[in-house]
Amino acid sequence: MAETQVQDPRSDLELVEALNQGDSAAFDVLYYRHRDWVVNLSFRFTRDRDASLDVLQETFVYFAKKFPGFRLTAQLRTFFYPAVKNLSLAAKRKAERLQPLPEDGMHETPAPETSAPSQRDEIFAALAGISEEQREVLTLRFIDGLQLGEIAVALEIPTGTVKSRLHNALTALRKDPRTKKLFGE
Amino acid sequence: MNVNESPDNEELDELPPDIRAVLAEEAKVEPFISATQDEAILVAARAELGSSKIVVHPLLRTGRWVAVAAAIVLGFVLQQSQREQPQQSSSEAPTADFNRDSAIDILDVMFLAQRIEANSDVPPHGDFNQDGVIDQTDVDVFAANLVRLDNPI
Repeated sequence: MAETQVQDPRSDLELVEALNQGDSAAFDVLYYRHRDWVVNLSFRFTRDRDASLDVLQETFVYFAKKFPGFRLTAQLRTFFYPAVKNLSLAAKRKAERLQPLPEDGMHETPAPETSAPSQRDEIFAALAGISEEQREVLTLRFIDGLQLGEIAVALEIPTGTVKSRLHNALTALRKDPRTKKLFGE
Repeated sequence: MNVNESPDNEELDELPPDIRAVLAEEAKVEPFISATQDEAILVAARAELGSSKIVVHPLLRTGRWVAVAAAIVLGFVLQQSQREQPQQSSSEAPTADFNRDSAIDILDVMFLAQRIEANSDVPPHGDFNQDGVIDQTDVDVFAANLVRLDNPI
């Protein structure tokens, strides 16, 4: 059922228009089309499946409240992004407040592994070395496939700032000895 | 980065596939939503579809104090304005005066809404959108027209 709905040939824009005309089935199509992306995005912030599910529900409830009268002026994901991010960060903060304080010794860093790090580990470490804001822009650009202008809308920042963050992230990875060679330089 | 530097988009499109793969791995999780969870989420969301329709609508449905206050103020204003107009003869009672208090006001909207909600006898002149059915949409149309004082029912 879900697969059939995802394969609906109408674009997001056409589905939004259909929804504005009262075709509530179009909502289900949009839900199944963007559900996994919303959950994935939320999981990036919360690292918690239950919290991501809550965020998924709250996001689509928030979206439903926009009808009729919602006008889609960019990719739907650029509309979802700030909502998902804010809801996820709120869920994360709430979970952290409810979490008991660690007892002595529980927050000790694990002993380093003795085997040589794999290339994946090195890339992972290099990515961890750039700022969260830079990694966010990298992910939106290269994993979610958003254009620079769309990232600017999603993050509610100027396009120049998006370019700057992306440039700085790529420069850092180009210079990092762990990822430098991957750029063929 | 210097503000004057303007990296072109081509430069910003280069990310080696290996880094892309790790970034993707970090960003994605296996789908874990069951069909039951999907349905529960959709039910919650569908319940909100169309809730941005008309501002008066939720007030009427919930019957909050705001609605009561609005009704009192509107009723007073309409009564005052009707006093200055010639009275209609009793045989020509206004069609939308459902509660028969000789004034068409928010109380009539509430009267119609309550009748529809209770599934009891609805006033015969309540089909404001003329679709052959007297339902919540008529309440919305009635309320919208009533609050728009330049276009009274």
